[in-house]
Amino acid sequence: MTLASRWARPVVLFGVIAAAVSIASTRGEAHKPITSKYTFNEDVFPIFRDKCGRCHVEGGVAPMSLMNYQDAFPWAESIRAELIASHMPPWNAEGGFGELKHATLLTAREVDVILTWAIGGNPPGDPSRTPPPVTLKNEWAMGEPNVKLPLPEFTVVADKMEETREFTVATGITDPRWVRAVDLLPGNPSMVRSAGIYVKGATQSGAAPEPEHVLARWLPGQDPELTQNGTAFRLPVGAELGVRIHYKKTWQFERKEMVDRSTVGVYFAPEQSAQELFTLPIASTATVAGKDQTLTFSRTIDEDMQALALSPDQVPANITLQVQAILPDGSRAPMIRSKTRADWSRRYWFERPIALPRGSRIEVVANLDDPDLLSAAFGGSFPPKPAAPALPMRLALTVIPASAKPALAP
Amino acid sequence: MAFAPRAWGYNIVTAMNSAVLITVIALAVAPVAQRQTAKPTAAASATPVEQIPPVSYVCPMAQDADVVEDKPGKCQKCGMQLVPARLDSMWTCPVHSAVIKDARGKCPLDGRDLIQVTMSVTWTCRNTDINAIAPGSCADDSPMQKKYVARPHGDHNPKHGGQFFMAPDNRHHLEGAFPHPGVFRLYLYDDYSKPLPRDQMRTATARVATLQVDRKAQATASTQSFTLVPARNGHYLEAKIGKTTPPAALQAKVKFQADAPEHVFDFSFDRYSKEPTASPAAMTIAPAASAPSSAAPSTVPRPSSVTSPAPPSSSASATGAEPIPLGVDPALIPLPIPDTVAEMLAQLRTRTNQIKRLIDAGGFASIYVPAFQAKDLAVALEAHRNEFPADDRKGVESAIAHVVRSAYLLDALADIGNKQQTSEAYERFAAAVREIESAFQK
Repeated sequence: MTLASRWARPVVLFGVIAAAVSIASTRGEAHKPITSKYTFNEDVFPIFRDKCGRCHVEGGVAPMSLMNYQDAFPWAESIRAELIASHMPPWNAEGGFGELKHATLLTAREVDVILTWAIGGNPPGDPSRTPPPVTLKNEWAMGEPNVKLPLPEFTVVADKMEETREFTVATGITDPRWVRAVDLLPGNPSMVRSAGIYVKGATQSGAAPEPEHVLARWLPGQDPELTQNGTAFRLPVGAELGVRIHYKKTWQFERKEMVDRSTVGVYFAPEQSAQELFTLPIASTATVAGKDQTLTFSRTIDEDMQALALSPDQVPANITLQVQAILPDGSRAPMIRSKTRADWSRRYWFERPIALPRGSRIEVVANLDDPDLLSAAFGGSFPPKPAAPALPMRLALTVIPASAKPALAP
Repeated sequence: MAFAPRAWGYNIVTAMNSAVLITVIALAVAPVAQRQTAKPTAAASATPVEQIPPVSYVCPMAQDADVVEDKPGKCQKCGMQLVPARLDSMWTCPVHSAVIKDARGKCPLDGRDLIQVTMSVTWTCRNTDINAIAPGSCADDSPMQKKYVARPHGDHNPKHGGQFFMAPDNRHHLEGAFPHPGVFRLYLYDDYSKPLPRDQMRTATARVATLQVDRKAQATASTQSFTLVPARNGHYLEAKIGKTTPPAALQAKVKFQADAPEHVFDFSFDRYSKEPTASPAAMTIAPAASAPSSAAPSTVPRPSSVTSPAPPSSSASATGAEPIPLGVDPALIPLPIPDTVAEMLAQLRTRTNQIKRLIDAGGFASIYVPAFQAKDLAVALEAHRNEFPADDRKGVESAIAHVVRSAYLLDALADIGNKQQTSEAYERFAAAVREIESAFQK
């Protein structure tokens, strides 16, 4: 791309518009020096589209669209801060420690391309390569579910920015069923920030759902996981689902009323029999962290089993968690190393089941130091540091006992 | 580097060409602009009268963004034709500068206090590059949308031969100078690196501590603390710091306003600060293999105590010191990437050690050079990940990405001159480098 070509179109367009509307127009900004060898159209946009486009799109849940140059470049400084702090994309598990499905990490080159562009004058690139418009896709990621359960309409009033609402919805099933996945389709994608979907039962009203009953932790931009190898969650006859939705307006909708009516989708296992998935809580017993701001706790497995997924269930935000299994022979099986962030709690599915012989110990090391040096340096007060006594913590391990045989429909 | 583009040099020609184009456009339409601004458009008259800031004339070069005149002419700094602009004082988030408010408050994205900044006001049409300095209608007769853009500030050069930092509030800048035995001065600047006006100087409070550095124990201890007081001429804050002489480590704690947080800045002086006399025509960089030296042959107006890091192992290393045109940022000199992983790792180790030495020496302004060269090496290493043991490959990929992120983090933190935070960032950077080295040694 030549300098001349980069400017040719704006100049011509400028002239045409100026003449057409008889309005004086001239550039009124000091020009940022362009030092980036990467441009939006050629280099940055493809990364944004593939890694960020499900949320950072017009009408999406993110506070800005990154799907065209005009929308993206004013946020270059924000993008820089979010990428350096590893806040975005919001996949908070580190690569290389444990193997997780559907990791949405940026490669080193992608990080460098975006940051070079963000600090290097944000060049738009060749106008002839302006990307086509990207529109929001609000659809069932796995196709039509077996059962669709519409939730009641909910309004976040004008003077509130966010609100958490819990709904109860009857499944209406008359036969017990095995469930392979549960998904949520937002009615208004720009305000549904996260959701937890669980089998209603033992949980008291207003309390967080017990991990034993959680079917899905929904996050925007994330596909639901379909259970594999004949495993499934149990859904008893007449079950009711609890749906806890966190609504959050973006800054553009301040002082505006917003309405949502989301739908829960349930995907049944076609087989009559399945191996039931259980959840094993791993909870801290200590109430204070050590001098080095770390807290270690564990749970010993009392029968042979396989671990399929892990969810940091109740943990403070902005800390670092490392979880690994210490097997009876002393070997270690890394599971996850993750920075926790408020409102980005999810269930991480392991790439392959992790065999846990009886006597294995799941060790959790929590470091309460805020890993975000950049935010600490530039501003200090946000995000708020978790108070040390914000304990106990609890993680939820999704397992299948080795002794369990596939059962018929519950 | 701050959350704003540095006045990087290798594309200065590009920027100047762009600026010339802008100027041509501005000149072409300026007479029309003046006529039109004097006569409201139909669209404007149909709506309530909008307060529009007056037209100012600004320098198109980012590093001269402090040049603002009320009439057309040439930039007093670089000689370029000034361009018309409307400037307004608005409130924005410290990090998310796209959020713009007309009054103080909290950032809706992260809850921090909004900061007041000067912004360019233009009017635009959707999906166009139009930035008009007067409102009007678009081609489809819809009204043009008002747009605020934060003006770039690119001048991070010391003005008094001292060490220059940006404050973590992303607005203020300051320079510490050690001009005479026993005297420490702080020059305070605004977002365009213009000296703070007297009234704002008076609201700032600062103290400075002399630090005793134990290099073996890698620890520092404060020995004495002194309060800085405004100089009679109102140009700086000053403290008498006893018999302290270079080399000296000083730590300033500064509050720009009574209700603002206190920021920490670490200065390191290996000689007295000297007021710059004349602009040099070229700088010289040292050969690659050499460690940073306090006698680095730099003629660029840099902080007196800051040393130049070793540049990439390029042709410069073969021929010794080579002149680089003024304004060329050494971090932007293309780094020749070695062919083998072993050589890349050796270069990465060299950069890692350079960063450590710069932090120890207080050479914050130069840290970005080896940091950015290191991230270039890391990106190159990513393409060679298959040469690492298969079991370690995912970990190596993650570590490489850590190196890249940490390099940018070092760059950001070094800009605000806080040694502790920069050292923490370095520890993360170095840990990621060690992880890559360890995997390769298997």
